[in-house]
This record gives sequence, C-alpha cells and structure tokens, in this order.
Amino acid sequence: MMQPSSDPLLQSDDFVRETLDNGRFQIEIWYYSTLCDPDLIRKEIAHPFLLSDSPETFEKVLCSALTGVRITDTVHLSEEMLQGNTIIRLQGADYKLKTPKPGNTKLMQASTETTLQGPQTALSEDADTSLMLVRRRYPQQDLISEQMNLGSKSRTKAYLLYDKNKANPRILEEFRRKLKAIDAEVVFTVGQVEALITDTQLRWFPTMIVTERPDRCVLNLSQGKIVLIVDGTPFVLIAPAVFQDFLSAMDDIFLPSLITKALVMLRYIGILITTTLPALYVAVTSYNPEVIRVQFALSLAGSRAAVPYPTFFEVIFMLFLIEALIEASLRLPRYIGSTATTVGGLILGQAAQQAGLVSSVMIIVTSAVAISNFLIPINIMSFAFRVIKYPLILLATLFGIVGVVAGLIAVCFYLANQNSFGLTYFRVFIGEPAVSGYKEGDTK
Amino acid sequence: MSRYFYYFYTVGLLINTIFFVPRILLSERYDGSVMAVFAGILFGSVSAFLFTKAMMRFPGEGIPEIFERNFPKIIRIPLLIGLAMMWTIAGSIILVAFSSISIRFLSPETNPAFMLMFYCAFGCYAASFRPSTVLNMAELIILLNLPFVAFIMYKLISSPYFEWDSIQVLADYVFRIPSLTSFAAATYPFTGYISLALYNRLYEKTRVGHLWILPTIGTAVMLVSYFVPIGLLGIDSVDHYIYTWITAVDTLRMKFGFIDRALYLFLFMYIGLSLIFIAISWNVGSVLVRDAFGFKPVTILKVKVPSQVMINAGFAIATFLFGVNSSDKSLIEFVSGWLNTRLAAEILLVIIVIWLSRREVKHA
Repeated sequence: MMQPSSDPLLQSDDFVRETLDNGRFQIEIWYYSTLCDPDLIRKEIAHPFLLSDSPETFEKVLCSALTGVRITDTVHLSEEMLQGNTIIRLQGADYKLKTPKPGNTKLMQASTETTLQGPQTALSEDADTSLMLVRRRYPQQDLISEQMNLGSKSRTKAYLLYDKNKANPRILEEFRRKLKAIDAEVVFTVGQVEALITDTQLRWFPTMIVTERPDRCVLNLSQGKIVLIVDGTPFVLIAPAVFQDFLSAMDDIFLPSLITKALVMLRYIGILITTTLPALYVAVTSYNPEVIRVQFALSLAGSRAAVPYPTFFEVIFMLFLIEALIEASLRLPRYIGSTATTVGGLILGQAAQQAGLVSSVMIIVTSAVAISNFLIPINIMSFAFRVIKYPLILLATLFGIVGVVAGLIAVCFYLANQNSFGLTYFRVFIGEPAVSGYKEGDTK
Repeated sequence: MSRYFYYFYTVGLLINTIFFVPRILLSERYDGSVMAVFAGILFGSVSAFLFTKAMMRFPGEGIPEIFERNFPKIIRIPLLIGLAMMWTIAGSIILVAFSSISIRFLSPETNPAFMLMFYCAFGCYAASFRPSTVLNMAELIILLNLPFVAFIMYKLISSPYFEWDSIQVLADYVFRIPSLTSFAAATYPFTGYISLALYNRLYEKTRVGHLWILPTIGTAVMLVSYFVPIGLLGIDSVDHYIYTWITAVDTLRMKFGFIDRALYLFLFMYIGLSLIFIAISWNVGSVLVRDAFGFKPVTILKVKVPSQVMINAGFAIATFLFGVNSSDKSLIEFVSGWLNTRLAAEILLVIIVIWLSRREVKHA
C-alpha cells in the first residue's frame, strides 16, 4: 500500500508511523501528529494495547471503542488520516479511529452583526461547535445535518442543515445539486460558496444571507430555510433569502412591534438617502435649483460660491474620500485605524470646505450618505447599496432629476427580476414570514 | 393576483387623463365634449366589464393561445400584430410626450434628442423583463405614488383659486352631440383593461373580482381630469396650454412642503408612472409580437439575446425616429387620428373575444 520513498506521506515531517510492541504481538499506527490528539491516541490505542493478551482481544477493544471501524477500502487511507483519523494496522487488517485534535472551539463575541440585548456570542470557526450551538437552540430530531466536503483540494468540512418538515424539497434538491457541482480547489468561506453556486457571474445584490449569529440561523431554520455551515469560518450561509430579509436585524424579534416597524421604516429611508442623496444634490444644484425653496437655493449657491468645479467633481471627490476612509478603517490594524479616522475626520469636516474644494452642504450630504448606509443590518447588502449611488450620480449629471428617478426605477426593475432559488426576490407584498419571527396569531 | 389587473387599469387611467386626452376634450368643451366624457365613462366601463368577463372564461390563457386555437395563421398574425402595435404606440406616444415635458419643465438645457434616447433606452430595458417582474414593479410604483396623486388631487380641488363658476358654465353645453374624436379620446383612458389580453396568463387560479372598481375609479379620475383644469385655468383660456394638466398643477403652492411648487412633486410621480406605463405597454407589445411569430432567442457574438429584447430595441429605434421628427403640434394631430383607429380596433377586439368566449361555452 505505501511505497516507502516515493510516498508523499513520508515526506511530511508531521506524519508519524510507529510500530508498537507489547511483547506478545505488534501493531503499526499511522497518523498526522498535528491533526491528532496524542492523549487520545495514548488512551484509546496505546493503553488498551499494553493490556491486551492477543491480537483478538485488542481487535475487540478497538472495535468496541467509540469510533473504531475496520476499513476494507485501503485506497483512501491517506484521506482518512487527513481528516484526523489514526490508522491501526493489526495483522494485515486496517482499522481507523477518530482522534482529531480539538480545533478552535472558543466562542467569540458577535462582531459584525451585533444586537443590543440579544444573544452575544457568534458561531464558532469550528463546524462541529457551530452545529452544536444550533442544535442546542433547536433540539429537534427533524433538524437534519448532512456532512459534505467542499473543494477538490481543501475538502473543507461543511454541514447542510435544514428542518426536514419545513424546508422546501425542491429548493433543498437544487441547493444540494449546486453544492455537489462546486469545482473549486479550495473553499474557505461561505461567501465564496455563494459565489460558486450562483449561476451568473455578474452578482450585485446578495441572494443568500451570510451571518454569524446562531439565533438568526435558528430563526431561519424554523422558517424552512437551509443553512450551510463551513468549517474554518464563523459565518454561515442561509438560503433562500429575499430582499426584506436583509433589512431585518435580530433586534426586531425582541423589540415591541411598533418600534420594530419604525426601525424597519428607518432602514428604508436610510436606503433611499444613501442611494439618491448625492445624485439629487447634483441634479438640484446643476439642473433644477427651482425645485427647492428660494432661500435654500440661495444659501446652497452661496456655500458653493468658493467652489470652482462643477458639482459632479465635488460629489465624486467627497464620496471617494469617504469610501476610502471606510475601507481604510476596515483594513488597517486597530492601532493605526484611529489615525485614519482622525485625519479623515479633519479633512471631511472643515478643511475641505475652507480650502474651497467642496461646499458645506456637500459635507452634510456626504455624512448623511455614509451614516444612513450603516443602517442596513446585513453587511453585504450595505455594500451593494454603496455601489448604486455612482451610476445614479452619472445619470443625474447627464439628465438631471429625470435621470435619478429613472435610474432608481431601473434598479428596482433589476431587483424585481432577481430570484433566490425560484423565489421572487423583491416585491411589495412578498408573503414572507414576518421578519420578527412572529406570525399572526402566534401570541394568542 | 387580481389586484394586478387593477394596477394596470389605474396606470392607464392616471397616465392618459394627464397627457393628450384632456387637451383634446377641452378644446371641444363647447362642442359636446361634456357628453363625450359621460359617454366615454359608460362605454369604457361596459366594454371593460364585458371584456374582463369574457377573458375569465379562459383561465390562465392569453390572447395568443386563444387565437391559436380558433384562427388560422393568416388571420391570427395580423390580428396579434395589430394588437401589439396598438399597445406599443400607446407607450411610444407617452414616451415622446413625457420626454418633451422633461425638456420643457425639468431640464431645458439637455439636448431633446439625447433625452428622447434616454427614455427609449429605458423603455427597451424595462419592457424586456418577464411579465411577472413588470407586474411587481407596477405594484411598487403605484402604491408609492397613489398617496401623492390623491394628495395633489385633493389640494387642487380645495385650492382657493378653484372657480366652480367656470364649471357651472359648462352646464349649458352638456346636451350636444360629441365628435368622434372627443368620444374616442374619452374612452381611451379606460383601455388599461386590455392588458388582460396578455397578463391573463398569470391569473390562472384567481379570477378578477370586485368589478365595481372599474367604473368607480374610472368615473372619479375622468371627472377630475376634465373639470379640474377648467376650474383652475378658467373656461375660456383652458385650451391655451399645450400640457393643460401640468400648467394646472403649477398653480398650486404647498406653503409648508419641502418642495413648495407642487408641480415638481407631480412631475416626479409622473416620471415613475410614465416609465411604468411605457414598460407595461412595450412589454405587452413585444410579447405579443414574439408569440405571434414564435420567435426564438438569437445568438449575437456568442451572447444569447432574448427575442423580446430585439423587438423592444426595434420599438425604441422606431419611437426615437418618430419622436425626433415630431413637434408638439404634429404629435397631437397624430394622436387624434390614432385615437379613432384605436377605438375601432378596441371594439373589434372586445367583440372577437366575447364571440370566442361564447363559442367556448357552447363547445364545453
């Protein structure tokens, strides 16, 4: 089976191949020392081996151990070892025993999707721990987990989770088929999985939710959605998802219903502001100052008096700065990050206006755009909305207000044409279960 | 699903009672157009009612399928193309008119041809989506706009400058025989119900209920559309304006609004409504043409282009050429002529569909 010199297994320094002898008979064990837990090997293999009189008794011990299995198929031995198994060769027969080293099972605080008074921990980077967190919150035998390995080289462990009685079988079948068809060599994140299982190359709006919150997972499972846990990332993928799902925060569940409604409305207004405000600024100042009141039009013109460039450049200049600032504070190490925000804050604050580069109204517009963008609870969605404003600015520059309104309607058309696993993505009465998780009559 | 039927009906009403119809009617206000309005309401509601009832005998089927079963190819294709043209032209007229309104009231510095091109491009883009996408968008835009439309209508009627006397003058001119053109114009806003000819495909399980809505909103919108400009602009000078309704709305000022000239609010709403009207009418037109000939997607430079996009691009180019070569005056002349043709075509379609539905019942 194993050719000594040419086998790549033996070239790895962390590969261990040991022969144990207790005076009566011998066994050979193979494992990766970095993937396996030496304590476990000692306890489950070495110790019983020392006490066994004959190979038969040891075989009994081995098979009665928790996960010991005799392997008949010797072709995939190296794969078994890479999954954290130890291979035991006893008198020509091969056995495997699961002896994985515990991964990073530490639970972390939810950092990208925080709530005020909801659960505070995020899912774990270890798939089994994440599964445990979900199962604890949803102790149902109908919750099925299907294990699969994604990526031809990385063989990343992944769990497909769904409630057997609630998930739509057609969507489940489609999801499974798409996961099987993944052709990438390495898979590390759920976002990548989403890209790999989406048919079109040009993706703009997310059609699946990426979340790190176990409570969101459970809520969605109970609504019949499918969850994909991927090992090595604390984020999971939830499908199918419609537009409204991306505007629901987990806070919506525990806040009083009227407050929730007000907050959701706030998010929609935020979207409207973050997408259209810069374009409207261009359209109003360059084409239609008569739309707004005379006094405001005059003060707008006054604040622009020192700016020599057309509004288009003013808007692009400020928006570039704010986007750069957001990206910089995301990528920089935390210690340097504060420098970026301080310096950026100075520029965006007074200096740019005093230098005559932008008007003071533009600074308000920029801040409003940036702040209202952060109202969107799911990160990818807020990224999607950051992009929209640029085509709208272009349309506003070319056609004024007509361009802005038409552009916004065009975006809505695009959204309404999307679908997530055959579900309509965007419409007014979507027929979705309430984002808060309550259905009518639940409270009676 | 039957609510979608009413969205189309409402879009048709709201759009057409703003553009050419009031202008044609108001120019003949002393020559029987009051009677035309009432006759139009009656005729429009009755034919909408009969057509809807007849189409409900064919659950989940559009006109192309129904015609395919009943007519040979030689009759079917001209009928479908005629119907498609009726829709497309309805959209194109609004497109050209709104493009010139945008130039006049919103961006006078933009090159008119450039603006027209933008609208044509938008029409081609929006009309090439699936019918269900267009349905959902129509719902979104109407639900967003209706409160504002209602608000502006209310503001107009309650305006202190609204002269009820001007309207009373019209009482002397009620009993006059209307001309064919004004009758055709008065029936035109109701034409949205014809969308059922195609979108009936999507209403497989549900039937269109609450048919009383048809005459109710029809009457309300028609009366507002006809009488409000008279009340605001005066009975004698009301036909001095090209875009009667837009000038009428411009008399309104919202003292405490963020935008103080109601005209702009009105125009913003009507950009949305016009665009969705163009999208609907071209969508119906292109799907009818596609299904009449059974066009398949075409491959251009390795990209599969749906035939609907090609047809819509054709519509857009034709509309652009028509729009560039037309003026406000030639457009209204074209519309008057076209309205008469359309009335005949609509009556023909309604009769055919009623006849086919009777036959269907007999066979069944």
